[in-house]
Amino acid sequence: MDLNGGDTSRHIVSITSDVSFGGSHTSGLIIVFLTALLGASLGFLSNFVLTYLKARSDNSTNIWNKYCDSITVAGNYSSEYWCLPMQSVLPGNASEKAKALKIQGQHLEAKIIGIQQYLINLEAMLDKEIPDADLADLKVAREDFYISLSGGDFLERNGQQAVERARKVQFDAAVYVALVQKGIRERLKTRTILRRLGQVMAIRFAKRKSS
Amino acid sequence: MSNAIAETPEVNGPASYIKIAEDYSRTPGGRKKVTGPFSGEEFREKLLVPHLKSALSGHGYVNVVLDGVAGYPVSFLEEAFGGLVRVDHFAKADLNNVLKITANSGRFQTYSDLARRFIETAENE
Repeated sequence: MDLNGGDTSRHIVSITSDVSFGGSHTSGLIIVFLTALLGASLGFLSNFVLTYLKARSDNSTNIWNKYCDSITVAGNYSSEYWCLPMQSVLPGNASEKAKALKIQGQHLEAKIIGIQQYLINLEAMLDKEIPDADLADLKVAREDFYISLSGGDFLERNGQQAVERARKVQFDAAVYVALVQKGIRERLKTRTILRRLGQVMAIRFAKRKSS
Repeated sequence: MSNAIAETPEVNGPASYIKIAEDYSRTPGGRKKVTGPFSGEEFREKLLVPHLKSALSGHGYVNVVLDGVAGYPVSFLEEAFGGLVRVDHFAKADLNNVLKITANSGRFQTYSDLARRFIETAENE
């Protein structure tokens, strides 16, 4: 009994039940809040990962598109070079026209060697992007292209146009570009990504097992 | 780590190195001597053939290091390496035993592949 003659125990139970009701409500809100936060975080994370992967993929694709453009440019320089009726060794009485052609040819020779080295510099990176099944064909096409580009009578022209050669370098450039694009497209396919993932996991598993 | 091509044979004995960038030129020229300096023909005659003959008689091998130059015209490589079979009549089997073509950097790997391809596809003149 309290001072006013009321039932204290009953009052306490009532308060307790109010507190209890309020606590459960708060916990529910916290759970809802945490669930929403978790969902938002997962959404943000997956969106971030997908955006990152897409940006990375786009960046890589851009690099190889530019690489293919450079193959075409190299082929064009080379075709122009092989079509010049230039002479590498001029006689003492060479005409002004012959001298001008030689200078033009030497300019193209320098450009061809420069762009060839640029293409070769990126090959190690490119080869990592190409599926193993496509790599052997790509390497043969690449070598054929370089042979057409700066092989044969390169730096050693005799004053005649080499039109067949000019056509061949365009053909070899087109084959090489097609194989680079095929390899890059293959890399972006889901099954290739899954296969690579499987290979990485298998290697890690093997390493763990051996250690 | 060396990136010598897979087809490059395992060679034994004392090595004789030819580092093209240091021993010959950083800017190799074209095919023949008549068209300008640092040609493939001159490289083959002055450096490659004497080293190879010495290696064949002394049971060593020659290691040609391609790195360090400002790009190779492919005509230079064909004349220097293909010319060993075509002009100097070296047997391909002998070259497999005594000639190693090395590209320490990936930037010269294709040149190494091409040089080896020219030896394999060359025919005696």
